[in-house]
Amino acid sequence: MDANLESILEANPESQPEENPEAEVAAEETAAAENAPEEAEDNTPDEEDVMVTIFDDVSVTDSLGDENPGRGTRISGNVTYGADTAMARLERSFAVHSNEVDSAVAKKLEAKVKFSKHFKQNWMLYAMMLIPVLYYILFRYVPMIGNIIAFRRYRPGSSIFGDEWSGLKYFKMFWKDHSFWRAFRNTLSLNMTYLLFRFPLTLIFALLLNEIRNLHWKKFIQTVSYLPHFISMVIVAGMVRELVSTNGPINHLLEALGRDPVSFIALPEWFTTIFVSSGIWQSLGWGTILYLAAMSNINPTLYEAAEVDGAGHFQRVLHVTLPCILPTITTLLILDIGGLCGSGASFEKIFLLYNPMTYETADIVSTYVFRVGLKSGSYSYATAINLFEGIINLILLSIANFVSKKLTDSGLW
Amino acid sequence: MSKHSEKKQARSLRRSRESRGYRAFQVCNTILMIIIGAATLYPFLYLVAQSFSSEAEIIQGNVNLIPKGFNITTYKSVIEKGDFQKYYLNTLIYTVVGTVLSVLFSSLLAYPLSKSNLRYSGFISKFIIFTMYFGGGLIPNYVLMTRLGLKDTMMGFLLPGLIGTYYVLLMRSFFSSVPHELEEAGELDGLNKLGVFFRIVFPLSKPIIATMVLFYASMIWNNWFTAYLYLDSKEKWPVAYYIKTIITGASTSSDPGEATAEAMQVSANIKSCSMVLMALPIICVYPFIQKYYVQGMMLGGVKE
Repeated sequence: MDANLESILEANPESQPEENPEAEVAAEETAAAENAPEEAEDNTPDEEDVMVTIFDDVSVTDSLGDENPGRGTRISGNVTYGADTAMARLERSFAVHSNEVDSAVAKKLEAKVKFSKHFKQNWMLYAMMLIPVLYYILFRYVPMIGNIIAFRRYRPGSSIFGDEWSGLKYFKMFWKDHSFWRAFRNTLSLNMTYLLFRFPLTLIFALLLNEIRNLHWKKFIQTVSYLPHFISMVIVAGMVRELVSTNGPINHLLEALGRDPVSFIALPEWFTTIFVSSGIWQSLGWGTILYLAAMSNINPTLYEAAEVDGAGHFQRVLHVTLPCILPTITTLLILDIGGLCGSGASFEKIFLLYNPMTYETADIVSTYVFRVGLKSGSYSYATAINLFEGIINLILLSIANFVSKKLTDSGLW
Repeated sequence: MSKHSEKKQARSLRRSRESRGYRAFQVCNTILMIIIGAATLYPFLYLVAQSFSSEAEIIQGNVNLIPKGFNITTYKSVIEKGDFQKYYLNTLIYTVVGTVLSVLFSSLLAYPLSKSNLRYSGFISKFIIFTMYFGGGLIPNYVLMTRLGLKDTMMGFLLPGLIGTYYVLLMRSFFSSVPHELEEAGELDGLNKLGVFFRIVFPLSKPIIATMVLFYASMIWNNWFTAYLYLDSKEKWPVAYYIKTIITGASTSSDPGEATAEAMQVSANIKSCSMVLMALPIICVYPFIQKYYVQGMMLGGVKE
């Protein structure tokens, strides 16, 4: 045991603690007595239990591997007392003996003990995460690194990270690509128009829902309005196509009003309308959930106080409800602004609703990437466009987050 | 009697305290809600009406909310059609297997992350949250899946969306609200961490598990795009992808003439029948879990 203790101390030669031999013996005895069962479990052939005695009233056992004595990287240690008590005693004794002890070694030992103890107690939690974390590495981070093919030449059959460097060739290519800029403009304008309508409408709908006093009726309306959220985009797109088709109900209405039927789905000037209105139809109800949650957290005494002060119903909404849900509004707005340049859920819908006749207003970056990449097989070119969009998104989100933190003290990270 | 009148009095008192404007607002609000509800339901009712109508009436555009030429033969023929059965069965298998795997692995990740005293939980949280804001694009993902040999396999359909980061965060905030004392009690009774999770925390987390089952199941049930990317052989298609092919044609819209011609081949009543049959299970389930997912979303909405 002493040999092992020395080896630890040798590993930390710059900090030798002064120890009281008598106390050490005493502590060793008590520790050994208390620790007998645990030690027995830990006695695997390639590990030696090392008794480390720091001061008279603290004793810690630490089993270290041969490969790395004193480093604590072999993570298997155990502590005499329950986690908290050992640390508490350690700290207490620091306070008492602070001037006698070389704090450097104590700190190192403390960290090592803490870590091995921590791991011993929690290795199962780490083991639980193992598969999901590996999943994230393989299916999220490897493709992220795979973005490198934007700078490299990729041929079918070559490594997933491409063959040879091609520099900024693909970036220069799309910079001059009119179709790309059209898609970029469309992405921004579709997202902005959608946000402009959806955001206030969702907020108003949430406020109106909150005013409903019959709880059954309120719940019923909520249930109905959540319905479109759970419906597949293929069905939504199928419905939209039916509704706006030349013999669909909307054109029937137009005919009844004495107008000529319009082939909405084939006309670029109608695409934004179709996109925005179907989007609002699908997300209006679901979008209120977080607002309603925030409203239900408002302290009712605030309303009572407002009432006592003579505020009417509308004033209470204006001066109590709205200020209380302001953080939620801001957070959602940041998320939306950060996503202005991205495609998110709109990719699927646009993909199912657009056609070459409406590309002019309907083609967004992600649909363009899809066509260029998977239909025409220009993998690197498509990746370059995608990467560009992704980085712009990240920048937008960071700016929105920064502004929000300055203004409201709440942000995404 | 006196109690009744008291109640009445109280109500009229409350009424009289409310301004006339507020009462008018309540009436308008109710009307508005009815309109919103009707507008939300209208496309569904339209679809259902079509699915019970005869094809001739649909083509003439006579069907609106009431089926014309009422029949259930379309349903019969769709259900009895071998292809549709196969797609539906595929979707069922994918949804069950995928939901079990997704909920399992998401909770295995979320539970340790909910332990703030776990040394690397903060780092791993950041590690997974970053993927929400930046990621590999379509092509790198596609290349990876192809290279892993996952194309045209069931796992190829399930793996890309196996763990949703946002869902993990929702679960994490739920798990961290489970009383710590219960877990400690379990450990005192000799359970290890895994045992504490499966025997104590998991059973207590019914609301979030129900929410996650609904979210993941509906995500897989509705997923057509992953199938479009990775499932080449027809016998592996889920029903969502089949519906995509009858709406817009199997080919992409790169050639509109071809696509519409293919889509036209399927008659309108069969289309609407298939869509109703696909939407039905989710419509039947989601209202019953509403209590749970509203609660789950509320927890997630409260800042981390």
